Amino acid sequence: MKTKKLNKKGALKESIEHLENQLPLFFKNPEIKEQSAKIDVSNFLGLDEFPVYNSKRSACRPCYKPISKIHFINE
Amino acid sequence: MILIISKSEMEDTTNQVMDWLDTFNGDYYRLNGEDFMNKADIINGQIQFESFNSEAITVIWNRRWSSRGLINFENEEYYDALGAKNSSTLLRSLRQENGILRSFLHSKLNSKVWTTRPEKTSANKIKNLEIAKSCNLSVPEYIITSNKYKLSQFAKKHERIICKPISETPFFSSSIENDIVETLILYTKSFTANQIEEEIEDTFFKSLFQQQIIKEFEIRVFYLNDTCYSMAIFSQNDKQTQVDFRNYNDAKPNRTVPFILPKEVEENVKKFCRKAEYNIGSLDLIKSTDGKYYFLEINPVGQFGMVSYPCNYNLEKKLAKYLIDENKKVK
Amino acid sequence: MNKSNYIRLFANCIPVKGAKNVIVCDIQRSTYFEIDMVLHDILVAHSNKTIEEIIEFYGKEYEDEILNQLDQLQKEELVHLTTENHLFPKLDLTWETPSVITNMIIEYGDYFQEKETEIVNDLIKLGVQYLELRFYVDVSNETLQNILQSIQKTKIVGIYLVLQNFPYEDIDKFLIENQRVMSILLSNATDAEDERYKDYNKISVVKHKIVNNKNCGIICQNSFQVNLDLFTESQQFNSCLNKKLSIIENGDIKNCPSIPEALGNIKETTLTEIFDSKEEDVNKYWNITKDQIEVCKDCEFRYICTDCRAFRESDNIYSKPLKCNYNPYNGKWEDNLRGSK
Repeated sequence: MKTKKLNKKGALKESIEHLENQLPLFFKNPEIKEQSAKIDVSNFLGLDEFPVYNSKRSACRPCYKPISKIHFINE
Repeated sequence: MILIISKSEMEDTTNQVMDWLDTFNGDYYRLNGEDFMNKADIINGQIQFESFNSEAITVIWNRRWSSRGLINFENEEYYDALGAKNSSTLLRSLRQENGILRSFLHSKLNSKVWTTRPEKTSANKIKNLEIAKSCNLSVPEYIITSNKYKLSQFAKKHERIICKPISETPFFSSSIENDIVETLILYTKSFTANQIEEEIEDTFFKSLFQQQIIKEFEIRVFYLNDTCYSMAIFSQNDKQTQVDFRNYNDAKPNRTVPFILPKEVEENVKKFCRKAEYNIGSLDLIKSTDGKYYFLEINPVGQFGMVSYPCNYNLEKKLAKYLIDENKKVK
Repeated sequence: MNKSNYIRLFANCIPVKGAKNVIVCDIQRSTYFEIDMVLHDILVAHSNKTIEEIIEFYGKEYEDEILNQLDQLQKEELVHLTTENHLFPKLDLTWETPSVITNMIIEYGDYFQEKETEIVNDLIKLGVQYLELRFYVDVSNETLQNILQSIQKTKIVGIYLVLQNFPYEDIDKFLIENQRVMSILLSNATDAEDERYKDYNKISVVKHKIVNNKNCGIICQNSFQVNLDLFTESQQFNSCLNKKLSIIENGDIKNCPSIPEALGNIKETTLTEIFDSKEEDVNKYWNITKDQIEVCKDCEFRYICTDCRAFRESDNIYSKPLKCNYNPYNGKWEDNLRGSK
């Protein structure tokens, strides 16, 4: 079981800012982006194992066109 | 045999090139950095790796090394217990062990044809700016300093300046809730002379500053086998991407279209790649509003998917063909 | 707007002219815009003229209107101004793929279990990337799980399932463990199922029962997709049947399940064998482009819709798809779908 350590919101930026005068200036005023790590099951374009490429996580993707039109209904 | 040095995760470009190599009946082997570290043994100077025999290798596509950090703390509390000082010692030690092993692999393969020679895998931005100048490419004026006064003078001369990493952009993130991650965005920073005067501390780590070029559009060039494949990126209209187009606008992506470099600029770009000894590379250029073409930097193991698809250049196929041809030449 | 500049459509915004209407296909942002026929001429026929020269051509009295329209296009980010017209080439519309077969339809049948290993090996050899897997009868979760596991050995990046029943309790778990599954179509669904799956974008339900491949071939606006791959593929190839192969319920191998011609039966041969020995039959329809098909060749949607050769208006191999009710000559979608039901 992976245990994750949780930090205080904003702590990362604070620590970097605290070191400011020892860091290159591209560290100045960093922006923070908050991202949800939660997987949206329904929209997620996932990564899967592809042994044929010797790759553990490669992108899955939808076809660029309908493979068939069996699912379209005459409205 | 073609050797692909890559990584085991999130590397679809490698997969796509492999598809074309399969189509051409290419003889290739994919070695992920992870496989080398976990599966290969070195016995009396020979690298023993499944079917891999370094003698058979002719050409190497040097793409990536590994997707994982050298250490993975399943339980982050242990990391805390080690403390920052000891964990950085631990990481440094592993990095050195790994570095020696990797350089042994490189020395074993030293005489082969490489897309990017191992010692060229990470670019020296400063050296490259100088080589570019010597090839008649315009480069933005720059200063590398830790002195506020000198920086201030530089900024006044150019009104707006930018600061960017001399090596690669680091990535920081931290979990703040179970499913929420905070990441630090360290894209290219833009400063006015006034900001330098008022907001900057007296001391800071030596940094690279360049005059900010007002762009009409950006250009990404993929260089392969003495050919340039260029793309114009219209990033100047969008506030979000004005200074650094990597700050993507997903809802309304920047326009990216095929572009032909003016003859003279193209010749200079090729001259640069030959002189700096890159067989392959992804170059960033800017077309400025004053009509000049500026060289910014080259990424020697550069992404090309982001040029290949929008411009329909099919670079995956071209690279596969290049590897096949090189393989034949040596044989 | 600097009138000494040229005005260019971005290379990935491509105008397509129909009998009555013109659309600009924005293949980068996956959308299309209808534009005026005169504006189309300005952008296409007069693309080598500066704005000034264009105004001169049409006459000063139209200056305001022309500038207005161009300004609008610029705001929509469909065009850009440049002094270096020659440095912005058109997009190369060549379509290429490393795959022998890009997309495959498999109708599950009695043949499957015995032939599974052979089929999976051929899927790899042919470089298949997308698969539609149809079940016309109920399926158990063991059967489905085994098939999905075998497919993991292939290069397939996207799987489309057509099911009569969804044999899993935990939908989230199923979708997370089977990342290649792009969508599930559940046929013959009850109201309860409709309710259960309504928040899942990947799952769609239909109340009617899909029992065979006669249901296919409907062309409607919902089926349009604006992207580089489809746009380029349809320039040279049939947008539905190119590089497609199918195995139907009884084991017959066909280009498409709904067309009558069978190329062989999987019980007696293999997919690669069929491809190698009967290549000309396999690709009989592959090179029929929209520009050769009656009516479609006058339709502005011809590079964003997918064709149908299985159900068509007449025996003529180039006749219009039967289940399309768009009329490009008046720009209207007619109410009654001819021929269906």
